[in-house]
Amino acid sequence: MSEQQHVLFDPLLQDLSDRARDEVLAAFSAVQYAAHPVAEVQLAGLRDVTLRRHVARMLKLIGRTLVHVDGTHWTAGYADDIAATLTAQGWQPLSVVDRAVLVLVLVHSVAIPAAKGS
Amino acid sequence: MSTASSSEAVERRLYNALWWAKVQSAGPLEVEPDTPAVAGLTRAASPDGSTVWLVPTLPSGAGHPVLEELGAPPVAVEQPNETARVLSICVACCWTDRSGPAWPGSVGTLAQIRSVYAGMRGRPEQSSDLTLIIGSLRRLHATHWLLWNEKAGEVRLGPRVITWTAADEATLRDLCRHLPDPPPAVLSSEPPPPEEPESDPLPAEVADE
Repeated sequence: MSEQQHVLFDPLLQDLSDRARDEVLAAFSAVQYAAHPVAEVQLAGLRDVTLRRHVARMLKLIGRTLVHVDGTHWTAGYADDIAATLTAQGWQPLSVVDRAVLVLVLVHSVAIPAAKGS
Repeated sequence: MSTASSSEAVERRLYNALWWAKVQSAGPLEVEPDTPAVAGLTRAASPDGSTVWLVPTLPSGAGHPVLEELGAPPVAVEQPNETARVLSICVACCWTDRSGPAWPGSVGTLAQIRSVYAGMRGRPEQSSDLTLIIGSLRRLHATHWLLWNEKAGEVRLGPRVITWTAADEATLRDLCRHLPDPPPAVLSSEPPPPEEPESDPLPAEVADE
């Protein structure tokens, strides 16, 4: 299967130089798939405002958005409008067990500290 | 651009974005074959054609392979070596016609996997092997690299293998040659047809048996 053409992203990427395209794709991959938020200084695709706008546009095409973390790092999350639409449609990809685990994590990491006033 | 066609474009973008959000949150999705195409999601028809898997694809230069170069590791896989070993064994068992693409491949069995696993380790099966194999099969099923039917003890390649490029498949073909040959599959769900004289010309390795 040839990956030379990508129907969704190519219209966004075709006007970029090879170098800019690589920077944008690297930044896109890092915010999408790295286990942790990535430092802005580390990637030209995040440092450079014009390139970062391309990353944001790529993310928008797939229902995601750039999220600034601590003013120095970036990651990606679901765009609010997309999340709201899917929730309204009853979209629920998590199993009951996974949801139960998530509730426990929230209780311990958010609810209990908040109740203690910390 | 007229208002009608621009609102159509907006709708199309939203349609794509919603499907992409779905496959990102749930992994590749099995849908009705008449579901309209989604830009960037490759369609992998199930063997009987009754459903289609939607699998995300990225432009070359994007995705997990880039992360290593960036020193920004992805979310870790549990038991990565064991899991990779079991995936390679399943490729050897399920990709029987290696002149064609890996998807959809054929059904392999747990007995085959155990046999190749022991052969790969170069020793008889140990009791801990099965735990490791089953754990890996479950992990690979959850991530759609395999479709593992635990009840029947049967496995197929998962829809994600549709994203393997010709170069990937060449590497895997080579890998399969280095693995012990799996024994013939004995399927519980559908017994093999009795004799089929008019079937396709047999690959060489079957004639050797």
